[in-house]
Amino acid sequence: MRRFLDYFGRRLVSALVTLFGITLVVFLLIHLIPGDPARTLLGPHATAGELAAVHREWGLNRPIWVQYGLYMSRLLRGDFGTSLFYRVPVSQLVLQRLLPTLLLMMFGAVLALVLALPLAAVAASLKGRIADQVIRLLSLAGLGIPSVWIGIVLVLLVAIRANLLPVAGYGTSVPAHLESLILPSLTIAIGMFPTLTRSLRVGLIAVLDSDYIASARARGLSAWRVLVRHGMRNAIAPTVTVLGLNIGYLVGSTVAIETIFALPGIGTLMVQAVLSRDFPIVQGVAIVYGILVLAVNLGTDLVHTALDPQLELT
Amino acid sequence: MIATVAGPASRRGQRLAAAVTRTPTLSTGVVMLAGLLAVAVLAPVLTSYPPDHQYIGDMLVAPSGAHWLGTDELGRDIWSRVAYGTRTDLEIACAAVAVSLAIGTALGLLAGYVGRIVDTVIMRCVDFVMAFPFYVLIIALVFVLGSGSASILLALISVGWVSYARIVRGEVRLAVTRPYVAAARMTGLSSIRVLIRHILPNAISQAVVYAMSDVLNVILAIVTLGFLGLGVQPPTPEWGAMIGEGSAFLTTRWGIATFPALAVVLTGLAFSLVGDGIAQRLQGD
Repeated sequence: MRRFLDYFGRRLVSALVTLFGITLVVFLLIHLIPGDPARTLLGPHATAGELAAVHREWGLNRPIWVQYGLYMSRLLRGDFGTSLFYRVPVSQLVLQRLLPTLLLMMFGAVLALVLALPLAAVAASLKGRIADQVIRLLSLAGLGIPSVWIGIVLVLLVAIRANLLPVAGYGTSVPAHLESLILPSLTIAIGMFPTLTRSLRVGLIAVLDSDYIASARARGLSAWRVLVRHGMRNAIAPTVTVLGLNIGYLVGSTVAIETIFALPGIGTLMVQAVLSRDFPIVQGVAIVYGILVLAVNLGTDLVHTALDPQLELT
Repeated sequence: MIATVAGPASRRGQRLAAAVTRTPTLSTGVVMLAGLLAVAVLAPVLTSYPPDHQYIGDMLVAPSGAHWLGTDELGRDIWSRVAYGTRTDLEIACAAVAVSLAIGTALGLLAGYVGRIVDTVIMRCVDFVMAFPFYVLIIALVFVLGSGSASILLALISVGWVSYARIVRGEVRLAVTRPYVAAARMTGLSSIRVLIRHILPNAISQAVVYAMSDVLNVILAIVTLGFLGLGVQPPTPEWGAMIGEGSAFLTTRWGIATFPALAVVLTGLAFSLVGDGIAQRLQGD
């Protein structure tokens, strides 16, 4: 337990350093282009008064480290700036839209696992045979399918032709919310399962090659029992790691998928903000996304260590 | 004299050819890739219409002998746009990956070989960039840089170099502990020479394998940005923008969005097969 707490503390410190990095990168974004950052922010049609207001708010005439200090002190007070378009605090907009994004990520990851685990199990236990080759080719081809196209095809087939689920939007009741999340989650899962299947197959093959599997087989246990009771159980830890490694992809893909299905999440908020040149929102949402990835990574790390007590805690 | 000089080179060529033909994944991928490059280069020969010419009165036409894949809502030939789109998407993707590979490898070598403060600074930058979901940072960068091919390229490179830096640094750290590096140093070779001639060739193979899967991800990113209207701007033919424009006509003319999507899938498959094939060869040797 002592060792675990030490490890947890170290992970927390490194997470804080990363958090500092996230704010630094987001802060430096507008200083990336030479010239007046206020001009970059507001676009070519800004008036002198608007430019002056941005200069005041951001302290743009002060040295850059003072600007960063001002920015950090505002962030620490929970002030993510004010939307140029909606004229309300960015934090309020983000909080209103966080839940659909979180649910979408969660359902997407679970569905991806539901698709990938059986396929990987079949491929690994029939390694080199025809079923394995077919699954490998499928997942190889699947790597290149654009999620945005999967999304619109699902809308066409399931929502328009079969009329089973809503085309877009989020509905007004909890059942309607869940219903509207099915197709977006499925889109994410289909985009994600090829990568997951490929890594899981390799992980499962390593597990099935080990001595205790050979001994379980030697004791005359059925192939199914060996796979499920001995193989799968030991493949859970690598699965969590693989899922953690793909979390950046998972979180990022919600941006485009939310937009296709017009889900009121933070991804849609970000894309609309880019189109309407609303920089405070872009900045705020980018930080929130960074924090999401950080939190999920920390979570998978902890689950991993809890699942695998032999793991070296370094 | 000439024979002895040409000998090893042609033998190396033969060995490479043999390696390609002996790995079915690799040979299939190489053939597909060659086909794609041919379409990109020969687009004017392979198509009968300019990609952005609008045939008024011939809008939303179904596939026929005149328009092999039909026309879109503005009366533009879809096959022409898919073929010319190969140029747009492959150009940006290959340029982004090549420059990312070069910058990442240079910084990775530096971090791994010099170590200390240089290593700390470079790897901290890598961590900070990797802390963001790929798409989120790309979209934020496109906001700042503006949309269009050049800004997308710049955005992709700003994010893309980090993976290569991390991979190459890891390989360098491993290589400096190996006897062959110590031996090269003991013969009195300069650090630069040891780094470039002895460590780099061993460290770069993993980065090249990664580059193959990276091209695929970069193409998907260009396509996604184009779909969202944040990428290559019309009327330049680009697969993602075509999928986006075609999605409005999905119920009547599903081909407008689907043909460019198929082009993406085929391109992805080609690069995946080549990447898998190279990885297999490296493991086998």
